[in-house]
Amino acid sequence: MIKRNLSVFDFFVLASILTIFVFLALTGYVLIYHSAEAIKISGISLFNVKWDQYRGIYGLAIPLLGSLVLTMVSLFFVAIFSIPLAILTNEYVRGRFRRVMETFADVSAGLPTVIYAFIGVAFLSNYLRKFVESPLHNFLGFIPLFSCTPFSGANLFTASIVLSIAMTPFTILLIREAYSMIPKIYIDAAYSLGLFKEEVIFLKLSMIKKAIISSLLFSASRVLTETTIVSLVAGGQFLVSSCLLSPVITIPALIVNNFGYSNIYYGIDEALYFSALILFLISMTLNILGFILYSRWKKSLVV
Amino acid sequence: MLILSIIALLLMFSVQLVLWLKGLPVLLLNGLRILYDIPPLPSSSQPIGGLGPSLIGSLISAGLAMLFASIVSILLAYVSVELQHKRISSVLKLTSTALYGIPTITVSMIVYSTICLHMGRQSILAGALALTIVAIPMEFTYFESIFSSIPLTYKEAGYSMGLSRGQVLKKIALGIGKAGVVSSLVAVFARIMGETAPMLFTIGNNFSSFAFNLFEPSSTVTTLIFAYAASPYKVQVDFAWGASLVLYIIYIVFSLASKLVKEVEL
Repeated sequence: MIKRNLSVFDFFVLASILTIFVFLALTGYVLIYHSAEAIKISGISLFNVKWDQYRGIYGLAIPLLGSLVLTMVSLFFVAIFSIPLAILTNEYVRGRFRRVMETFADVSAGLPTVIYAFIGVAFLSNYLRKFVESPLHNFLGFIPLFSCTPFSGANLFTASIVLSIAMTPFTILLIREAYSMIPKIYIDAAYSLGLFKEEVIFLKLSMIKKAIISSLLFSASRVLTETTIVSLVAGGQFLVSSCLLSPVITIPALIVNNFGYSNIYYGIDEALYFSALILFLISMTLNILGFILYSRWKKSLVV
Repeated sequence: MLILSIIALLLMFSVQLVLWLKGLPVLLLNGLRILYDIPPLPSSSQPIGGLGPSLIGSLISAGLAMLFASIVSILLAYVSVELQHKRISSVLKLTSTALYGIPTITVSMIVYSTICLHMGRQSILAGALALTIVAIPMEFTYFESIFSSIPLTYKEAGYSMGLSRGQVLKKIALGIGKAGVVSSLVAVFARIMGETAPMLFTIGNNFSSFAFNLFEPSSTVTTLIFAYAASPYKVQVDFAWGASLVLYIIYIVFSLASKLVKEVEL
């Protein structure tokens, strides 16, 4: 083996690798150290259903449940908004209008979510309450899903609509990328057999089924960790109910509202680090699942 | 299916339309003052003021984060593409994916507990560090795809002429991929200027005085919108419409500019 001396370039490369490892190790160390402290201080009461900071009970069961329910409901809305729009952009629109729509989706995918949060709280919540949620409660109130009165616009329904508006462009981008990877041979074969355009669209959708599910999993992991929209629009009350029109609290909203008060309430910061660790593990699991599905789908696309 | 896509399009367009309709009167009322003045007091009758301190905080923290993150990301992406068949490449990709999956509010908590608590106050430096942790994985992904699309023959030609690894990176890889690198840098700069959660606990809530020292607390446009959105004073909520429109215009200008680059003809 030829030995060479270390140069300045190698020094910079080693420093960069060290930096990125230090960041990751620091994250792991801080989260695990404070979570261990939380288990020492609060113990099993961390999974209580009561959050009472005056008595030192920091129960994380309700925010965790709220996170999961909000993710599932907004994923439903993301799916029903993004799949038809992706099909519309790819199949039925041509030319300059299509390029405009694609640029619009690209640019909106990274739009700061605090803008969506502010429009949600200042404009959308009032109009959604007046025109959608109150009629839903008045006419369909016998269904348990709409049985509570929406007093303000800040509830699970509004938050999931705003979250789906924020996440739809990102999902459309991923679906469009999967669409462009379908080999043309299959499409030509389908048309040559005499299938109609709608049947070919169904065929294409069935071919990218796994890619659509993996895009939805990536969006789910983004929705789970979304902070600004949820803390402004979702209400923030410690309630659990089967009603879509009731306020809800999630873990990022809990962290934003209660962080930093360790000198007044003993052990609150440590409980919040524990909840951040749980959030990190769940979102990492969703990311890994989405990545595994995506690579399996890519391998199965053989011409 | 058509109805669902029309509802989705209507929702997305109406959100942007409302932003222009409600934010433009505030911008026209203030004119250029919105870029250098301080925000209005809660007792004012009209939202006449500016985003000066927050804009300075945004630009300085995002600029510092981009400086540090781009150096680290270019070197790491180049090493990952050069040593593609060794274990270091997959380790770097795994680390970058792990850093990308950290929730941004957790990044803020970590930087708060390591830097802000020991320094005794929040500061622009802590905010820049939080944005660096958020920006490195984004840039690593972009640069890796750019460097792996450069044909091997050009790099081999460089090595055969006797250039060292650093010179091949500087003259050949960056020379061929300069359009992609510049457009990625501008796009990531626009995205991290719009991040709120990493700055919530690290940069402070100083909306009314200019802070140019790196160890002083400041604020960003995004934390200003977040704080004023939940405010009980109507003046501050009206001013937040104008601030949202300014942030939107900055983001759109940078995003569209990053798409206008022309690739190098090989």
